[in-house]
Amino acid sequence: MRGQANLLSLAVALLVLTTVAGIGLHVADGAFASTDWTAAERRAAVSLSERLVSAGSPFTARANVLNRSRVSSLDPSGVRSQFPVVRDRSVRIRLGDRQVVSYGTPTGGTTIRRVVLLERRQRVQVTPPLAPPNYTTTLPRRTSRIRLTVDPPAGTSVTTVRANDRVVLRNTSGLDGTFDVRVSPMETVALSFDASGPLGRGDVTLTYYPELTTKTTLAVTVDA
Amino acid sequence: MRDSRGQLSLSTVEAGIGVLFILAVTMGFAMGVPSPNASEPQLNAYASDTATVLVNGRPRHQGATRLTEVLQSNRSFTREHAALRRRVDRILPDNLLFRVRTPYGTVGYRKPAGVTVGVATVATTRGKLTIWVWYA
Repeated sequence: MRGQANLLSLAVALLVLTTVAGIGLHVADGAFASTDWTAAERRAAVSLSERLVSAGSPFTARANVLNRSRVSSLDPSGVRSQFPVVRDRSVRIRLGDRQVVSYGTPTGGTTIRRVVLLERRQRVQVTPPLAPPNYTTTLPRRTSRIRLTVDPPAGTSVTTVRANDRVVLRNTSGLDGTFDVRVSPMETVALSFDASGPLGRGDVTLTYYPELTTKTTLAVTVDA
Repeated sequence: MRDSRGQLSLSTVEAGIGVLFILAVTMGFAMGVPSPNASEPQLNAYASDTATVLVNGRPRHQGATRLTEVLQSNRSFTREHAALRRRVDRILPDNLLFRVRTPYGTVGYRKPAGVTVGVATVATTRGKLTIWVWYA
């Protein structure tokens, strides 16, 4: 009688132990699996965002400054071919509150936000008042190029154009027409003109392209 | 073997101990698997973005960049540190606090103990600029 009771309790004990061991293995497996997934996701999201805003990215003018027209040309296949780190994961890229790219069906996933500036070029035209002796004019904002239209009055010829005392245009028989000049965007430009006679307002027209930046966030979501 | 009155069967006791042991190990997995610190890469990204934007910022006066104007000298820092603080405040999203250390002084908030902090350092012509960022 006693031996049978022992057998029964042994069977119950084994059953309980096996069940608990099974549950334990399941929990451990789940814990490992979930940790592994988010790590891969996070790595993809971090490196995709890093590459998007880096200076060498095809969408930036310099580090963390996105070019507006180039960003609007982003498309899912372009993202996959230019940033192979995403592989076949679902990706969503938002700029501010506008969705730029959505690939696959990201639900949840890992999101990395980056602070970026969105740049666009303005086109500003000025007809500066020019006064002797140097006919100097200073551009109020920085630019990387200037389009000059020189139209001197009859009998006057403009021979030299200087930007911050460096000669950028020179023609001893006289400059007349439209010229493109590249200048450094890192300093304020003062243009001066050498002319054989008097110059006035309207004889030189300047078009320059200052940048206009607005701050926004780039949110990159990657879901495995 | 004497009469086992009032005692559990030995195999049940063993099973109980075994269950306790297995549950202890399972608890370790359920709670103790260190989850990667999710907010640190994000905070580091915020800090390095702020540093990059600051370093390349357009100047307001005659300097090459805004930061070289602020970090020209002790006097220019005293004059412009409020503007620097406003600028960093505007660059960062609203849910973040920051601290910026420049060679001439520090602007921003006091760093609390025990929070996850993102940090970025950039070299400027005047020395190192360090930015700490954390969630408010």
